[in-house]
Amino acid sequence: MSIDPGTASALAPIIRAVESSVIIYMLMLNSFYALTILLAIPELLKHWRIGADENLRLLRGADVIPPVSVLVPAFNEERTIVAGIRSFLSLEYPNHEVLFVNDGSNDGTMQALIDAFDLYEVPPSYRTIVPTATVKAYYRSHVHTGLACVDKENGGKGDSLNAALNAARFPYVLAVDADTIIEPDALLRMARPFLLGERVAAVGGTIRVANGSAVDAGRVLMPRVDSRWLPGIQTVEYLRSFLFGRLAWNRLGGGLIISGAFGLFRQEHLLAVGGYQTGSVTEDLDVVVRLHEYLRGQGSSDRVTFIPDPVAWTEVPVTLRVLRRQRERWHRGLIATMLQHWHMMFNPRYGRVGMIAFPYFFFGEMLAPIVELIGYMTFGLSIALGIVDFAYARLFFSAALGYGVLTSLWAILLEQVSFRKYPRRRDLLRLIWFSILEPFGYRQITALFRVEAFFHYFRGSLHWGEMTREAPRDEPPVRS
Amino acid sequence: MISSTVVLTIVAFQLLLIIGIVWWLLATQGRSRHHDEAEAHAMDLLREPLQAFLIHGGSSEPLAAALAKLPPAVAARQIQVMGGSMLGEEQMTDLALRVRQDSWVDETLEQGTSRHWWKRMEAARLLVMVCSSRDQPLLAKLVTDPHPAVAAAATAAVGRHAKRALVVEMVRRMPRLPPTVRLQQMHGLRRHEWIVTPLVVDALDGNLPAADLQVMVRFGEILGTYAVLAAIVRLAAHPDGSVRASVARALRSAYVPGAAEAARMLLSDPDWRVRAAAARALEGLQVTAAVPALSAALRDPQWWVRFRSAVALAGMGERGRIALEEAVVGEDAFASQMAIHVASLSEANRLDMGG
Repeated sequence: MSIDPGTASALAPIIRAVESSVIIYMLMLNSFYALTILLAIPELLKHWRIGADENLRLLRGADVIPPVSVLVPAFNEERTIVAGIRSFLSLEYPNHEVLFVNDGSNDGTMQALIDAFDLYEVPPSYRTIVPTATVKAYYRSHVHTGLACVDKENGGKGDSLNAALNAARFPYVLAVDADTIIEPDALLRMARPFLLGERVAAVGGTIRVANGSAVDAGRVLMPRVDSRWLPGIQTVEYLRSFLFGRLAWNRLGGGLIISGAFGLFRQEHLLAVGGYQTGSVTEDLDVVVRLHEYLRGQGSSDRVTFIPDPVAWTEVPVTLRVLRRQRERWHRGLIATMLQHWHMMFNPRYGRVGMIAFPYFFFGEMLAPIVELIGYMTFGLSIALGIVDFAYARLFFSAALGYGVLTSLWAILLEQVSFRKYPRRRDLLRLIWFSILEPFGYRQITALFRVEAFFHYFRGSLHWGEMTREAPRDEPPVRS
Repeated sequence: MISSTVVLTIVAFQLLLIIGIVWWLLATQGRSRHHDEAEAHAMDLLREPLQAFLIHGGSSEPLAAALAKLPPAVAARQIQVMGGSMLGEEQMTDLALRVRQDSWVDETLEQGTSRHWWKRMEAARLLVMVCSSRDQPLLAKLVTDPHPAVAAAATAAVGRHAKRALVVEMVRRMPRLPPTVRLQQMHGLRRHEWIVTPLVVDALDGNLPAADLQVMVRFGEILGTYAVLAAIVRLAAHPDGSVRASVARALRSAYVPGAAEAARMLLSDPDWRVRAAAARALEGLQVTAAVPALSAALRDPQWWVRFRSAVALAGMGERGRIALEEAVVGEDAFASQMAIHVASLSEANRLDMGG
């Protein structure tokens, strides 16, 4: 394609202006990341020091920590549900119940549970505070008194969580995904704010990548880093996101995200905000934003906080097709939540959430893939127009990519000096390798998936997309 | 635009940082391995004297000598493990007396005055294991530490080692503590009930603000002494609903004169939290005379009161069960629905829900 010199010289100042804007945006965003890295360090040290086993021993004594209802919504999880429910029931916690909600599964999920836990039907007499799809039956177990099951018509994840919320007996609820593997002491660790006498409305824990790890009977026996590039890079991505991304928000007034796969909430707050939004594809993000809004409105000092050492493991996509669905959905949910709560933007009424968290999630998360794509496009255009300074571009890309690698390595370092979930040298080398690999292709691909979310959002798509899961690899533990 | 020199400098700096972090990562992993090896070595060193002491009833001297050979931090951790899950109280006392003079113990306990809370916490954890009468000032300091993790860690030593002055001070500070530390200290102070009981009775009979009174009612419930429970019963008509709710909760196991009457009275309280707790108390005290009142409470507008009343009826023997069956076929839809729900539960499930 040939472009006449007149057009090129006319376009050059526009392209340079766009490039400068992208660079300024990148600099500001990276400076904010640097700030989060610094803020995360004292938070991480605090939790690492206090998270030692001796303190957990103190917590294990019943009566000192609040009882918790574990909410487990599920749709077509026949293959894994029994092991999952067993692991939730065997959490090391003095007083907890497990509330399973069958969201109109059309496989044998409900029957598998009836058989495994000797369930019997009881008339569903509980408060229906949040309206949900029709409840078909309510079961309790002859084997485990701490298990209750709600069988209902299909209504989506938010609707199932609302059904569980109605049936929950205890003042705190832990929302989990049915296929999440929670470490046995994770719930106990999540109760730490109560030990410290902090007023909390919600507590988030860390999600780690289970792919490649040896899993047996709903327990991760030996954490490992998957050797395949896609789950491997996501392992680094999750470390970065949880070990300093979310931790730093504790010092910035509380983040907007508590993972739907592993989050502890005060039940009365969730009921006060009307439960989970049923039409949302990211009900976890939406509910935390509404919770912040509610807390500020009530003048409550209860905080939304994140603790790094309670760990839950999840399987991440291993194919680009599934990753695309997941990331597109996440981003579509982010766009919807940001636009729905637009009034919070730079609104001092919402304190630091309105002045820092909301603007960051809008400019730094929601718009980031668009800015990144514009950056690549203008670079391509300047090559086509012959106005690119290659020496400068090479250096600039090195700096940008180097920064990405640096932040990933820093997250791995924080992990190694604190919780050390990956003691094998081979896993450490894999983490370093995937940190270096991430900026070359993966980052650009996921940016594209996220840009796609804008198109789907404005077309009004509410599709969730399916998560195709691998069978957990039950391998014997190996000597490190 | 940023000049190429600046970008080049940034690139070079980043490269250096990347190399530095990778080196640090590898070194950290090496250090962690070394640390694991040191712990394993410590366990090897302690195994024989521990077995001799634990199983064969030998002297604690070889074990104390082995601990003294370890780095202070490792020795402190090992003695915590032993004290926490292996040694009985007498054995721990014997070992504590033996190691109390060792320099590694002094070294760790000196951290109790550190300005870093985590160091004070380490001192508190060790103090729980080796506390003696001469450690009273340090125990008082740590148990009243402003950091809840330190105070919580030191609380385990209160039961065996706190003297009267410290106990009195702890009771005085009780309403101001974070909830969990407070509960731990309440349990820890049960061993000093002859000191604590009159203090709590005075507090309950005094003019404390409602929030403080609730704390003292809870403390009284945990203490469970006759005088304290009688003082709690006297609060059943307190004007504050939260206090009455705490009283109703405490009545569950208050086997003292007037408790049953108080629980029956609270079942018709204007505050639904009080009514729900009173229903539970009536079951706990097995007040069968309250069956008609509990049957009436099945029609309460609040779900929790209906639920607690139904569970209470199901746990009150033949009379309660008959009342529940009558409610099943009764005219009130709310009462019938709740009675069907609770009557359908297995015995284990009902007990679990009543607990």
